[in-house]
Amino acid sequence: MDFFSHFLHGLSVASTGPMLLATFLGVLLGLAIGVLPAMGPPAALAILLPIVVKFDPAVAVAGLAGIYYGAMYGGAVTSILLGIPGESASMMTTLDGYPMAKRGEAGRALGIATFASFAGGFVAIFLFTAVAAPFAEFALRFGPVEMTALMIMTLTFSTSFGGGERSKGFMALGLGLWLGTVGLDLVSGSPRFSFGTFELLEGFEFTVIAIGMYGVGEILSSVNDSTPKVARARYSIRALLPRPSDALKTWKALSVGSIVGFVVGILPGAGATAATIFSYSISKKVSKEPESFGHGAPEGIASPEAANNSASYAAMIPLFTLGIPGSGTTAIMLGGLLMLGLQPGPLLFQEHPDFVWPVIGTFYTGNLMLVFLTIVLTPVLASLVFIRPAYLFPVVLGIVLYGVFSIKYSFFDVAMAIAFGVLGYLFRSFNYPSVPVLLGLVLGPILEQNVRRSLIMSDGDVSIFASSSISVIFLLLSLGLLLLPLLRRVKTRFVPRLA
Amino acid sequence: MLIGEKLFTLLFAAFGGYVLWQSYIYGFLSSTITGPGFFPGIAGLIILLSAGLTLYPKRKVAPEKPVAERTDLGTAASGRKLEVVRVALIVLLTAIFILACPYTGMVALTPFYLFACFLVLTPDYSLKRLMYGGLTSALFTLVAYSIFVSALGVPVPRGMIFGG
Repeated sequence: MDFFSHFLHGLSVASTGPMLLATFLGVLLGLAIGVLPAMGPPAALAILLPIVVKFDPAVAVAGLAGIYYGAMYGGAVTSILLGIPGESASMMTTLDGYPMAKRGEAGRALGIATFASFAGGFVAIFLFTAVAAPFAEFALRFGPVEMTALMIMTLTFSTSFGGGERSKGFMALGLGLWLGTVGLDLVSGSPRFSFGTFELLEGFEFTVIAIGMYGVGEILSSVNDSTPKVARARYSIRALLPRPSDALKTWKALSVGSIVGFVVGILPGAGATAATIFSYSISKKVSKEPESFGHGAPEGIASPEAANNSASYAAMIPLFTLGIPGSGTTAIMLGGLLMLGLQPGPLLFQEHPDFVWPVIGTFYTGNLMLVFLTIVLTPVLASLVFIRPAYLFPVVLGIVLYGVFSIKYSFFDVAMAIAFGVLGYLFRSFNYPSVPVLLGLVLGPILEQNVRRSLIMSDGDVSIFASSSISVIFLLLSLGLLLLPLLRRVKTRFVPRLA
Repeated sequence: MLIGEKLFTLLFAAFGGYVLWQSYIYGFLSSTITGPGFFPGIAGLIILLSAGLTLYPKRKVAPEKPVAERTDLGTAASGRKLEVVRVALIVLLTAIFILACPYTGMVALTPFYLFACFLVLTPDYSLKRLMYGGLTSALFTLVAYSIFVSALGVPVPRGMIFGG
């Protein structure tokens, strides 16, 4: 089958009942998750993994992806109406969305956000469809040497750009890499760090750690949160419909957001939040009225909203084509794919076209559903933020306990999830990033396997990593990024003296 | 850098040291390929080096804050204390839940566990709130039973009451 046949087949499967239902439930839940300030998409995905893996892989991933991009839409609702970003990726939307809402243009602001999210999402899905398959074909050239270098670069980039102190990020990465080594060593067969327990011989269950670090950790660090003290307001559906004049006014910001979001979204570690910051500042620079930004400029909503949706779809390209997650959310999705028995990577498009193309098809149907759901459900979504944590958190904890138990019917796993929840809480308290832990855990074993394969190929000669130009480029980029702070320090200390 | 944060980083560093030492015991190399200790050794080294880089710039003790700045800190400290107490209670309740489940049954224990968590988290104990809390706990238990036990067939422990 050629590209168009695959694409049309994917769209037709995505329009079947179970796929539509999974996409609908995913985006609906994503919208709700995006609104709730204490729950992020990684936490929601991690908590739901044990349930969704019991379904058909395409149905399960359609639902998971729906949560991811749905949350990007949902985050805008509270950013505009309440000035509270539901997601970090909606932070920039607050700058202009909330001032617009305060001057009585909440409906218009939400309309712009909805239209921008749809447009940004659509551009990214279109690019995804066009780029993913050729990208996977190119990646088929990657052997163990190139994969080793690519993973080192991904881990270095994700940790360096993940936010916060870099050294803390690398400590978290070290922990993640170590967690990935626990259990039987595949080559020698000797147990590593199993502490004499039978349960740890198979290693740590990815879902258990993801649920612990994100789901439980996020709840524990939000135990003192209270509902926001803002007045409830009513919003008519008519006011939320986007105006043609706004579409004309914001087309430049929309284009910037869609393209920047897509490019930044593909890069490991950059993520949707970085995409919104970049696109907002570029849109401000190219705008005819840059002074209006921050005071309720429609372009200030359109640009970041297009960017965060575009980035969320783009982030799935390296995940599907290389098996490389660039963020916490995509790392959890990778864990989910592995649990479903699928190995993401260049061969996924060749070996499982019946999975990949229908999932891509659901991106189209999901994006359309989101526009409809956002317009219809905004009044309900806005009231979700008033749910008291005292009612919400015990329910989420209950889902965690049942969900983790249902993986292997083991209370050891439940205890581990709580232990990692406490670790996640400490990480948040002391400003340690959690994403490198998950990336290290999920990529560590694959990296180790590729290092060993490369060394077997070269009979132990490490110069094999310099034998491929792709590998050399990736390794030099990683090294450059690692040495950058050192070079900056040398420059600030010695260059003024020389001058 | 807070003392707690410094202590946490030091513990992290000690853990990195342990991983490195244990990896040495497993063996870094075996013939032409890496041994079982090679990769965990790298992980330990990354932890140890990064911990050093985190602690080194902050080795100097921060100067005492002026009294005026400390008044706000009092409220923050009491909020933090409450947070730690709540976290500890939730972890304790969950530990009790895990230990008691095989005896009492998972479904039977769930509403009590959820209600206890609600009591820990709720800011006030008015009758209306308590009723809503109880209702939420009971409703969730029913939903969890329908999804996990009836629909997905998860063999949750039935305990002595429903064990038959």
